[in-house]
Amino acid sequence: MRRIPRLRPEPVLLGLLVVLTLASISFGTTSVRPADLFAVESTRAALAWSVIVEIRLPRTLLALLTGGSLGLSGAVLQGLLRNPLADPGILGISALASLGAVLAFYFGLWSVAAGGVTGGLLAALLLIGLAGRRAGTLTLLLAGVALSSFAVALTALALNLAPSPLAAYEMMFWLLGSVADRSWSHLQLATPLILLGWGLLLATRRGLTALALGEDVAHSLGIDLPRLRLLAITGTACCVGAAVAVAGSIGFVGLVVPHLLRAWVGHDPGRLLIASGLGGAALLLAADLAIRAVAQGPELKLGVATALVGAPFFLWQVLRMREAP
Amino acid sequence: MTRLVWNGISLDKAGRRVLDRIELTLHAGELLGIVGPNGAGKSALLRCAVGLDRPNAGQMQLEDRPLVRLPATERARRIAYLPQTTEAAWPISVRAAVALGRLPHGDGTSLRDQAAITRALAAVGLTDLADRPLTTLSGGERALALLARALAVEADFLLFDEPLAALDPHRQLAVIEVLVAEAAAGRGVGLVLHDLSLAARFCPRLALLAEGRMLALGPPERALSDEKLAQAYAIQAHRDQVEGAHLLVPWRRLPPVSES
Repeated sequence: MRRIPRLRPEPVLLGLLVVLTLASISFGTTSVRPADLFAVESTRAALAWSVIVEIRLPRTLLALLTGGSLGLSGAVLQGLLRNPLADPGILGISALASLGAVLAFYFGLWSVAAGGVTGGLLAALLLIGLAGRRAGTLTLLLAGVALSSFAVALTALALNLAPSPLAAYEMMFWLLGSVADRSWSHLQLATPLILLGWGLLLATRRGLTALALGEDVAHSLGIDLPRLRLLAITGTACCVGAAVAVAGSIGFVGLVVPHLLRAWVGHDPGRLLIASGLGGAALLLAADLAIRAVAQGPELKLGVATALVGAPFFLWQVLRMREAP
Repeated sequence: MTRLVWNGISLDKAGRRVLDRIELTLHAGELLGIVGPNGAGKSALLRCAVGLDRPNAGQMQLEDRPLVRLPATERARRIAYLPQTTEAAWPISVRAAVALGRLPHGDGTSLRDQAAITRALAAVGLTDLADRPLTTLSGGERALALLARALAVEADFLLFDEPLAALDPHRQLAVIEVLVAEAAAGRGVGLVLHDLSLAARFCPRLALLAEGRMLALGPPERALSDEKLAQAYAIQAHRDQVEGAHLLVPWRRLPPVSES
């Protein structure tokens, strides 16, 4: 049993997030010194400002929003399903959002991001329809796994039947997940839905705390379980759907972050939410910074980086858990 | 008058009649034992009272008001429920688990909440283990922690499903004394138990269930008479009077009564 540190996790993580945000705005392939921003030469100042406002700021904000969504929804779903292996991917929401985006790309519809959002919301509707409002947790989980496999199969089919190798390549690339080269219009589309999703997810806090001792106890404590499931599903669909729609699928953040922070909040699944949201944002921002720091040749995709670092790290955690009594 | 009423409750589950027109009133200040063979519907009786099972016929009433009309938090404040089995999903501390009992009242941080948590921990004798993770306790200690969680609600009615099953005799007696005290303090305690000796000695009134029906309701001498024991369990009991209390020990099996 790890000793619970005295410091509260939320302020620590918030501080870390502020440092990472400043770093993310300061570093990049074009060097911008603070002095440049207030340079007397107007072209120099304009260039500096445009690098920061048009390139780095959207990228940073998107990393924050995406990471926060993944961390928060991961914590909510692990609490709801009472399983430390749950993550936003498990209910098929990421998979359907990816499918929506790929289909939008494939048929040249509208915008890729809007396709992703539609896919995510469709996943929520399907889950609620399939599992029913009064359905239990296991039904929900199984419906999600089925939905996820089907969406992944359809995405593979779209890639398989791509009109040109270039199109398939582009779709594959998008699926790998990245926050690079995103514009304010991407953010405009995703932000309202992400914030709405966060609101819904944070409303599950009390219910998740009560669920620590099972569904019967939670019910007897006055928790409305169908409503709790509805909040968790819709909230995840909104924020993860929107995040996947603009940033592609990024794995492991939703799984690893709640896991890392759980002991720090005394294992309370409700208290984990805010810490996990902050932690997810910090982790994704750190990963994106790391990518920019090592950038040589083609830039490493964020989704690839999180999986490459996340998987061994998770395995190390599992081994540590096995050694602990 | 504070009372919880099962008003003609019938419940079907998977095509089987689990409860059949149950009439029962749990009064404030009484310790009611609910006994009966496996599958008699004892757990279902409690589950109906907290809305976990929805009766096919009949109505649960709290002080003459239909229970379904009561907001969930209000019901949770009035009726505390301890399920037969509880699986802790996370290694939360004993204190955090007990604090869950305060959720219907608020966030568990007020002085009243803290006092209730401390009282509940002391009542079951787990004060020293309050900071231990629930998952590292022995089976008996864990059962006590979960019991403390239900006590911490400080509800008017306590519906406990076999809280004694995992405990050694010393702790069984300790817990039943706590429940006797809760009843003396004015709460209505509905206790499902299998130990007929403890039931006969400590519960002034017993409800004997068999195959979903209320077979007998009354003081132990009447509810657990030779005839009723034969009918419900197909057993014979050895009886005595010790210190003015009814002593009953299940003694031998009887050949099963043929269906007429």
